Amino acid sequence: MTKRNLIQIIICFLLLVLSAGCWDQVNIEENGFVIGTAVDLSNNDSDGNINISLTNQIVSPDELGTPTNEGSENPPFINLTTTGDSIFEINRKMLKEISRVPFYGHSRLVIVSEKLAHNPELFASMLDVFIRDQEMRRGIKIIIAEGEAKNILDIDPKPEKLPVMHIDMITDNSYKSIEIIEPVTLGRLHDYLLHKNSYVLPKISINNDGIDYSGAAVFDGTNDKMVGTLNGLETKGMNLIKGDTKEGMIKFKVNNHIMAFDLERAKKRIDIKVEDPKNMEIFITIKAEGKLAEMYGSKTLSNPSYIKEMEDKISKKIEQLADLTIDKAQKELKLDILDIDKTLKEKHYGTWRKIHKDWENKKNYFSNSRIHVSADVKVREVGSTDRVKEKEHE
Amino acid sequence: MSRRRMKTQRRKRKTNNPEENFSKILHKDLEKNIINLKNMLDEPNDLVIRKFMVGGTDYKCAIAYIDGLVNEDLVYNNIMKNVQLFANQKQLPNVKTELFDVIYKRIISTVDMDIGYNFDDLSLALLSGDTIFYLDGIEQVLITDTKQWEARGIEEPISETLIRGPRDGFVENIQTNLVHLRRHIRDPNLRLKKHYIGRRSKKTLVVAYIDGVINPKIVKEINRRLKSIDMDDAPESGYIEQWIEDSFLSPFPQCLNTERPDKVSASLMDGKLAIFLDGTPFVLIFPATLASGLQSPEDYYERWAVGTLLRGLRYLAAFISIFFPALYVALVSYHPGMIPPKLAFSIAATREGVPFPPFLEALLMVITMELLREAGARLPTTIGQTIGIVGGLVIGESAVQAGIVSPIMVIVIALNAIASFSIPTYTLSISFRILLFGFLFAAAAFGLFGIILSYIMVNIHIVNLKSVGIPYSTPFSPTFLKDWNDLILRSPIPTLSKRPQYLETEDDESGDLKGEKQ
Repeated sequence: MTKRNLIQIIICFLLLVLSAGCWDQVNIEENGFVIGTAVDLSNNDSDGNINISLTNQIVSPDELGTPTNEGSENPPFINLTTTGDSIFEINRKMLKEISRVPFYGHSRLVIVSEKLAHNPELFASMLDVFIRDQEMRRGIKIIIAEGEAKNILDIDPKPEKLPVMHIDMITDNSYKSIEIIEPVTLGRLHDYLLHKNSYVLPKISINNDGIDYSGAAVFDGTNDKMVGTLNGLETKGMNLIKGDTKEGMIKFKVNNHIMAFDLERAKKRIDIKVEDPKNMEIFITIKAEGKLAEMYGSKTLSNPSYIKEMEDKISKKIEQLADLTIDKAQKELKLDILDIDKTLKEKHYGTWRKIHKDWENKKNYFSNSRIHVSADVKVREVGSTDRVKEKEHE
Repeated sequence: MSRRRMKTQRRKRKTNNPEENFSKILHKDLEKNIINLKNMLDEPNDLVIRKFMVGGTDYKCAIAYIDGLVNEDLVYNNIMKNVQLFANQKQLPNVKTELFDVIYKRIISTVDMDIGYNFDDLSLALLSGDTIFYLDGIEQVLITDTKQWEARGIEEPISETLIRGPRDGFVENIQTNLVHLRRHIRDPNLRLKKHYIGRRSKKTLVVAYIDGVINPKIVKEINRRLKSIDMDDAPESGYIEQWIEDSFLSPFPQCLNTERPDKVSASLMDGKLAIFLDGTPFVLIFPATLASGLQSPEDYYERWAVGTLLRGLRYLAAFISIFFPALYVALVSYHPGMIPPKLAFSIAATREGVPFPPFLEALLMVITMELLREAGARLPTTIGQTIGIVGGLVIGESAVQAGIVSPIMVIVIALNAIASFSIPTYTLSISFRILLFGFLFAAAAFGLFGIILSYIMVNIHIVNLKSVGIPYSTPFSPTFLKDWNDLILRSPIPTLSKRPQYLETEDDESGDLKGEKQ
């Protein structure tokens, strides 16, 4: 190879680098970081088409400030709302309205309004772009909003700076409370959408001085449509049965004294009698352990029979909560939000194969089954003291 | 006429030229010899020629030496005094050849003495500090070793300071350096093979190794390469290194250089080879591997947990010094999604208003850093510190204030510089700096993809590179698992009883954990 040839080849390679390189370079400060998205159903459907309105919360880093340099007075985010009939189209429309290219790599939340979620099929189709787009992460959390979703992006986020971060951190606290369900990520939701089973998503609403993150929205797996909600208590019962929550508080009464039991561990066991599929008997046993967190009254706790009494009361309370939820699931929703069919599939595969198509709909074997809940609670510790005060003797 | 023929003719003419002034053979006549010597050196003013009579006789004799290269006390006491005075008391033979023999064997009393037969022997000896003794009527001369000159004392090596370890370093005098080595290794198998390097300067070069430990193939190959050296002079061992290294296109140094006798002796014990060159304190160690460039003698002097930690730290430093700015540029300009959200926002906030794209910003800062480093190295230490303050504080701080660079970039570059300083082998740390630029360009053009591509390219190069036949990437690849106990992990000293396997030493055991020997 002559020197001339070599130089020509090197120049070719350089041209390759210089012409092909840098083609998708976007400097970090030129990105509009979309941190959360709210999707609403827009009202103006003049052509009969369904219009979606998308609100992106875009961070403006300059206002956010750095640890040493406090940001300015202005809110460190911009909520940009655009309407259209496809999410992708809306994204492209947004380019006309903001100087920074929306970048979804740091997106944390998608908040979907109840109204949209009630619309059959629309919910799943709307989520398609979020699952399909490579920029989107599978860790994005999906939350259902009561009322307008975009209003939630406008809340006062103190002590955080961004409303989305505020909500995101609240959802992460779910492990401490039994009234909240674990956040559902886009990846998990993708799994839900691909199957026909019903599922629940966390719910959020605005109350007078902030947000209220509690309860759950129940979705029918066959058409991915929201069919109902669970309130805090019902969510509690569902969590206890599903065994999802590790920690949580259960309030109960002994001798008219309010006590608080701090649940630390809960194990469930589901046994199903499948002899007669039309009239199945399901036994759910919940084994819970925890400690006494708070007590009113001053009876000594060193008495084992008193502890036993408390344990019985807690068991009763748990059974009560569970029954409440089961009632709602069987009678009102007619959906197996308790994932009992999972156990059925694991333990009685033959039966499950025969009936799983009619488990939640048509013949609805789930609703026709009889579910018995029994709880077994152990109070492991009573805290660092027996009594705090000694006045009344019971 | 072909070009090559012309070249050889020109060379012939050149080499013939000086011979017209003096003859290469020694004459019987003393005066003729002296005139010949003066002609050869063109009568320099530091050439001392002293003519006198052998005591009690009429035989003329002379001594010649270069002023400043010899110990004059030695010349006076052992040569002149003996020949002039002692000879008086002895029965001297009348025949000149016998007299020469008597002077050689009985009268002159320097320790090292030789007979010179021609002008080549004589000139080399004279110019390296020996004294020449002529006797009129004899076609031979006596060459007596009287070398001594002013030299720098032994100091702590500046380029490789340790907290714990010997404080002595090599000096410019090869004899002193070899004494150092002898004092470290009292093995009778220590071999010191002499070569003369340089067409004109004839520098002494010594190849040191331990026979019976080193793989003989390495010695053979090094000697072959040393013999191929053909240049006028070798002012520093770097000339030797660059002449005999395996690949001069590689950015990596294929041998280590050190000023530390302890490092040299430890390397010889491992089965490596050292090359000493007269006139420089830097000794070359062959063969070298990439891993050996990240080791410091101190790893062995401190306890093993400390040694291991330091090694791990150095591998981290190597990674940072090659990749860090490139990774920053790639992440910031191509993959903002890979930075944790809060950090991404804060980087975006600090970059707000910076006029340059991250690549230019990084290039600017890296070049500034190199300038500072170079300026600091060239200046005397006292001013060097000022450079540090001016560069680090003034330029760094005000560049950020002026909005030319973002503060995070300053952190990245500073961390990168610190990491590159903490690599114990200076030559290796420079080659990492060269790679840094390559990676920076790759990152600017193709992001992480480019970094990975260039990383693969560098890896291909490293696994192909060899140092005197030893693969540069060993013991990682080719893998010698047994050598891994002294790689990133530095296992306790008693367990290091085997010499490195990759060197294929003749004696593979350097000790025994059980302590059964002796």
